Amino acid sequence: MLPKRRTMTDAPTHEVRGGFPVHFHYTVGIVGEIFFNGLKERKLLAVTCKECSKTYFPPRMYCEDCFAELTNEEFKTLEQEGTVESFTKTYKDHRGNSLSEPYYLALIKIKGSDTVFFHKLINVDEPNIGMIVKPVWSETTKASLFDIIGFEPA
Amino acid sequence: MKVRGTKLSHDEYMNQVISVDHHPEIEYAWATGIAISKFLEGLKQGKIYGAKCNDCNRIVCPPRIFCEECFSPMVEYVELPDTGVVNTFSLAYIRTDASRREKPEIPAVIDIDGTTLTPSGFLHLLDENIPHDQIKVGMKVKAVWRPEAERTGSITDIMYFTKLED
Amino acid sequence: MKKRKVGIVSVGLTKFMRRAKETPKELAYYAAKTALDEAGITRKDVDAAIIGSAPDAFDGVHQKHEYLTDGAGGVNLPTMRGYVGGGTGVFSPIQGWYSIASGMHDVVLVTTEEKMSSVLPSAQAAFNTIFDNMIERPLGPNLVWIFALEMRRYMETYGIPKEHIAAVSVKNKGNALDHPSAMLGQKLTIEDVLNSEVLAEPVHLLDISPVADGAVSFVMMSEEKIKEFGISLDDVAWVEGVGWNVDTTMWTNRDLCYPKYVEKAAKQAYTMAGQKDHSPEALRKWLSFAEPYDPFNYKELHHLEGLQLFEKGKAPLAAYEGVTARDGDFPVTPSGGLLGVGNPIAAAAGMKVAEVYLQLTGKAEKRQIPKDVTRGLAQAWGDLMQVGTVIILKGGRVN
Repeated sequence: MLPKRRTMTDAPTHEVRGGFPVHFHYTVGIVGEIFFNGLKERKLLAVTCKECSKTYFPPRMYCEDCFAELTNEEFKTLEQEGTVESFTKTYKDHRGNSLSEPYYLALIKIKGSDTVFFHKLINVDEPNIGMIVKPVWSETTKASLFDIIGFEPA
Repeated sequence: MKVRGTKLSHDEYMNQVISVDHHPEIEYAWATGIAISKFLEGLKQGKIYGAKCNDCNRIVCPPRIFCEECFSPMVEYVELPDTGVVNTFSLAYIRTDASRREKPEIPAVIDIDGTTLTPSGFLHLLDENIPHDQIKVGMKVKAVWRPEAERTGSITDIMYFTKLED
Repeated sequence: MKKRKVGIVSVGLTKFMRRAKETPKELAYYAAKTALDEAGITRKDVDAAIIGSAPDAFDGVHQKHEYLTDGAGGVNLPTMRGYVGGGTGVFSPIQGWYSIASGMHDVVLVTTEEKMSSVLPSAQAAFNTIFDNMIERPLGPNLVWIFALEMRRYMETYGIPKEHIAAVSVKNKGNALDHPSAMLGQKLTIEDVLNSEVLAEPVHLLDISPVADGAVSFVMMSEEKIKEFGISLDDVAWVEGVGWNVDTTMWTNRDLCYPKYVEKAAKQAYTMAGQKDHSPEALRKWLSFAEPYDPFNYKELHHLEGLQLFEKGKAPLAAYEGVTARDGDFPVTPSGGLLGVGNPIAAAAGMKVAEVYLQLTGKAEKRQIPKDVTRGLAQAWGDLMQVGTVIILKGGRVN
């Protein structure tokens, strides 16, 4: 049995505050450059692993299954059309505050791709799984995820 | 064997390649638990507390509620003097944010008097006005406390340790 | 329990760089793919993957092992990450060893990775969170402080002159000139080191290894699989001993002059390898060379003593006199080490294990030690001056 430790707990609990005073600068990498430069030109670029016949969108440096390097493959432009695989409506921002205008987020399979892409659904009241959508491009593009404002019903 | 990788200059890294930035907005609030609460409360009162293990008879500082050697629960706090010995020190010209200082601050590990078996203590700062050639490992030092009204129950309630004249 | 014999059959390294264009997983892929190609196998042959990476705060990706899994070849495999700070790069092949020695797996792909350029304003800012959050961080510490405090304690205890310690920077940065991954190979003099910028006395700028991005991978196999794949024993280095040990995090309650935890880890590894005599003379005869962890120049010496390869306080003079040069009586850090090749935390120690493999298989090119080498040791160290990890390899045809 543990000895009584009443005397050990007589001090009031203090609180020490601290931050994590760092921020991050991520390079998008070798294939990320190709993908984001594609967005800048309003293109959806993908890459296919010939070994596995699997098409990755967004593209990757390597096939995660057979581990073949894909950087020397041709990066092909997909059609600007996708299917909603799943979606959610978000009512809170990333800090937990209520949004004045809740919005939809979706997993979208771009036609010709074997992977899904995560982005916003816009200009839609009642989305459904299987819905065909297309990207809405920003007026000015700058090689960013937000060159696509969101996907809307096609 | 081929050794791969694409080196970037600072300018390429910051301004030329495509990148994404992230500024995490997080802050932590750490409750100080059992033993460190006692330690900090002691500092507020101008006292340094250690803890005693009744099994191996060590007196350690800072206090804790278990003995990491024999793994017994510690059963009592011990009030220790506010004097000690410099275990090691540095003349630091580099601040916490890596910027440089002209006049160094002097971090040191102070072994607190009254701790037993192996001396133990904590990280603190030495008086910046001690002539550098007088600072030695083994030097006797004494805590210089913040005025009582300004103490908050923090390690900084001790401003620094200064040389104890023999 | 009978342990199975385990060998490293290949390694893969990236360049070590201050800033890499590649993402962390792309770096991991370069290393992992190179190791698989060197072994002449594919991912389909791999049973399990091990990922070694130090704090998430460097790459800036939470749960880094999950993030790295695809680049490290671990998708849909039993994949795991062990993490002991700077000690990780040696701990990862130890994990590979016990996955195979236990009989659980036959072919394991081990990848160590770190991309430290992602964190701003500096890696330093993330490192500072190693200090105790309640009674140390409020003092505004800098990581260099802790090394300065340990280095001073070491020098004072044994009366070591700074010149002897500086010799390690000269040696390692010089050796790194021959390493294809190196970022900071330099021809230096002891005076250069002594005259470099003072950061926190006694630590000067050239006492410290450079922050880096990089990755290193290994393929490890059971003896049975090595035979089955028809891999030549000339390309194999057997794992003969492993050890690891962790001391208390209360670093201000320990005497920093000597790394007791490294001694305990080393003795575990020597005993496992069947080496009973732990005297420095016997160990230096038994081992051909060593790659101890050298994030700071004095750490190499500190670790050589913890490893029992030199008496306490005696390693610095040996370094100064050239005993530990690549062509010396007992070569230490022929790779160029963290000081010269660079210090992408987990990958840096991975590079040391890779060097032991490359030396034992005669593939170290310009760095090849100019004598027969049969057995080598790599050691890493980490957390709050408290972790020792040790691996001993021997040549594929050595009995």
